[in-house]
Amino acid sequence: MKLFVGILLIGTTALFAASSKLDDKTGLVWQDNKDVATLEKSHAEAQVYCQNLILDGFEDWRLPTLKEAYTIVDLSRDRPALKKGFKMRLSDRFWTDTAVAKNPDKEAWRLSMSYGETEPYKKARAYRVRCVRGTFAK
Amino acid sequence: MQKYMIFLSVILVLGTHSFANGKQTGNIVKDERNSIYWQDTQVSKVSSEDWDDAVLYCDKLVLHSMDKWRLPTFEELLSIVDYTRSEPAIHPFFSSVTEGSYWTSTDFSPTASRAWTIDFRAGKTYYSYKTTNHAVRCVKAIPVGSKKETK
Repeated sequence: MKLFVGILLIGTTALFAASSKLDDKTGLVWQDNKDVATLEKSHAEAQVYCQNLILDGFEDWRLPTLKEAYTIVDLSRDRPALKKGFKMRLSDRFWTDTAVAKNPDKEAWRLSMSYGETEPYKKARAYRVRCVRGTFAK
Repeated sequence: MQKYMIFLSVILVLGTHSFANGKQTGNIVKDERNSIYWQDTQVSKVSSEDWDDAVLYCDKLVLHSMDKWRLPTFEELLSIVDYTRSEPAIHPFFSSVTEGSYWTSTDFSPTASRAWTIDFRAGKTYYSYKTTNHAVRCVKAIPVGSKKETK
């Protein structure tokens, strides 16, 4: 029964998954609904938001690390420097989970999707959020 | 990161290069995940070139009797940034590091007058004018034949 429900869930997700996108190259699944374009959160809020997110039947969402976030960046594109296949195409700045080693309590790495550059910024500032799920293989 | 450690190894080439300040150890880091060798010599610490000269420098580099070096792509250079470290924020296998920006071969999308750099003080990435001077660390594809040797 459990297996049946599981298969049903995966099947339903595959059919109706309009809110997330699987990246075949990394195996990571990315949030891709309108919240990506509308919400802005502080670093701490962004972490909690992803932890509490339930999307396409999954609950294991989290804020991506900087290196994970870079896997959907395409530097041959700009405004946004985002790979093909995403519906939410924003040139905004996004939070990553990665803290700045020198000042981990106060700063984290934000990634600008205009061109794909990253820089440390104050965790208190609000930026866009695109949660991820799955294991980063590379 | 632990997984990645397995794929990096340091090849020590003792005394193959002489510098003005004496005998140096010329190191090469083998990166099996990207299938490339990384230059890790004193020069990769001090050399600062504009982008055109950086390309030329790698092209002419002969290290450990190996030629045909090139600039790393942005993706390749990003893979050796270690964001858990700072000053320098580089994978601990590397010993010669400038705390500053390094060139990549990746052009800035809106204009080819700029290319991508990565600053190894913290790991900041930026599109710099090619006329600016930055440090250089060349890479070279691991020859196909070298796999047979390790068998």
